[in-house]
Amino acid sequence: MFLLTIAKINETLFSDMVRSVNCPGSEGEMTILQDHIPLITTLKKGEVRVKLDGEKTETFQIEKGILEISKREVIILL
Amino acid sequence: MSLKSIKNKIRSVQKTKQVTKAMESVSAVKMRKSQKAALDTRHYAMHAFNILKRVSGSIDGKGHFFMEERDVKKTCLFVITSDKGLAGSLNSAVIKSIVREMAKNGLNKDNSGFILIGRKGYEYFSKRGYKIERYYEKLGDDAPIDLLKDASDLMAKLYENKEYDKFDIFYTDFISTTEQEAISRTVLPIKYEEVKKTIDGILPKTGKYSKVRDLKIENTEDVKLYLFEPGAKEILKELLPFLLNIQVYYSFLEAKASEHSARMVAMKNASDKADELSRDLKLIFNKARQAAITKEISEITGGIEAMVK
Repeated sequence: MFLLTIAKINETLFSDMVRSVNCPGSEGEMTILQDHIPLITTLKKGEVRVKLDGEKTETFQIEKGILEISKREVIILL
Repeated sequence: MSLKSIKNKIRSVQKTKQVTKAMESVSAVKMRKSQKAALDTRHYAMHAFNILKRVSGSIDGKGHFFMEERDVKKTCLFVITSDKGLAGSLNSAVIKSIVREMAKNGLNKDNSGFILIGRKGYEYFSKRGYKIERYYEKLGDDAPIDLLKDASDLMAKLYENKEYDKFDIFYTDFISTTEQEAISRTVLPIKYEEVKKTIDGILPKTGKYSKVRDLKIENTEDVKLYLFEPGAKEILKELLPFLLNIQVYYSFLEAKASEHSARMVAMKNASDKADELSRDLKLIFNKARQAAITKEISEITGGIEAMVK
């Protein structure tokens, strides 16, 4: 589990502990699990799928964005 | 003055006071709202700034023309004022600082252009024949993301087409409820220091929100550990418009908070003045009433005296 934040400039869309997140990276679809190496990438138009604890999932439609994976957390800026 | 006219005057002063009092309370609430909106999304600005530091730490040079300084031939001034008045010296302070800055940098109608938010600034600069690139009004209190994005996209486009070589933003910085300052910042070319100042400036110096000091801009020693996809330059290209938008967004919120607090203070002064005025008028009224009574009594007693004789 790790902390994921998805934020627009005027509001935070999502901020919670998640199991995995799947998003449309500029170099192709990518899935992030815990302890991913630090990475910064741009995101393309598409769908961000978040797997929470248990079977729950959430999806967000995005136009574009920037993803940062640091040691502490994962951030998606839209 | 007759008793009746004094009475009417007192009533009208008190009515005015009711209005100014209401405006004062409304402005106080709106001011808090604008401040809160800025604080709520400070994380976003921090993260974007941290990414910028990481990315540009990994590439030599500037990496993108948004960050490159050019010889300044034409300057565009982005001015945020309010649509409505009754806010003390708020707008005139902004305009004064622009006029001063223009004189200092030798700007005139040929080498400057304006992007304006708010009617007060528009009235001033359009009347004097300056070139207006775009003008927004009636933006309301909730920062309209789309319009502000439109404004920052326009700046990016004008900068890219080399129509202007520098973009300065002029607005009122909210320091505390009773203190606002007209300031200017260069938003394009993008400079670290200016972005950092904008983000740091979100917190007011005093008041309810001044204590929130949880967020720190991280140091970026671990930059070498980062992987960039597709590459640092491409990320920078995506990221810089974000930062431009952030600067416009926060400047707008600061200007809004300042507008409301300036109006609040102006309305408070007006209410106090109305109180004072109605007190004075009441005194005059009582004196006049007493004078009338005294006069009547002396007339009656005078009449009786005359009859007795």
